[in-house]
Amino acid sequence: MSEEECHEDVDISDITEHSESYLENEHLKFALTEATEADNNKLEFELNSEEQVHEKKQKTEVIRSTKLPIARIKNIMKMDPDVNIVSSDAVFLVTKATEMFLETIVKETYAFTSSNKRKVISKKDLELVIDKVDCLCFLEGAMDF
Amino acid sequence: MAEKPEDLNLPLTVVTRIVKEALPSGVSISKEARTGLAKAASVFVLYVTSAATNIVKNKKRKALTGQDVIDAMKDIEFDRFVEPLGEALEHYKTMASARKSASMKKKDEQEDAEVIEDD
Repeated sequence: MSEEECHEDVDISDITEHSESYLENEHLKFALTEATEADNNKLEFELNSEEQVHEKKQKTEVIRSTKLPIARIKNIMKMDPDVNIVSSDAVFLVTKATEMFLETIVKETYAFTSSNKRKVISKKDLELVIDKVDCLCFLEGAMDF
Repeated sequence: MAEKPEDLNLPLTVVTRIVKEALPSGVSISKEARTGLAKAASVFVLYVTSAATNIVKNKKRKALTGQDVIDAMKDIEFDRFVEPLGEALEHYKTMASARKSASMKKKDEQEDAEVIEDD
């Protein structure tokens, strides 16, 4: 029983901390994306200023502001029959939340894995976590595949 | 539940990358666990969508907005996501308006360039 509580305690502060630093990195990525959107179209003009050459290079370095594909997430959301119109910022936030969720659940699962002195996270560990952690109860039965 | 693989599943490679970054080095994940995580992520999307849609319905609105998603986090016991998502929304709005003004600026420059060429 105490082991159970211990795992739930590990959960909260760990995750919040990581989420915050994750978003600080995202801020830099946003700044880069900004510059490249503008020169996507400049490419046609070939005014050949040094600035543009530099910006072209930046284009290839652009990091997406989300890692998961937004279009795929939008498709999943639309499977809900009650969903009508979804704004783009809503899809964006769901994508972000899902990324944060993945970080949360894997860290939670790793706590179980490492408590058993293993370094490979197994499906069993995931199932245990879903069972033990309250906010993950919506995943009950999801691992039956 | 009838599933179409392309519809419900998120790309395994991306999911793997996200979770690996969240773990210390030297830790690996079994293939089954990776699939399980991708599936869990899809279920999470549906779960959040459902919670957010309920909020929209109760307010008798039709469009699901970013704020509804944030409010839904509280309903589904993911309060700790509220603040980071709030910040993300701010960044997104800033980026969206910057993109807008950048494309308007580019439009002006286009016109300028055409004028130069004509001369």
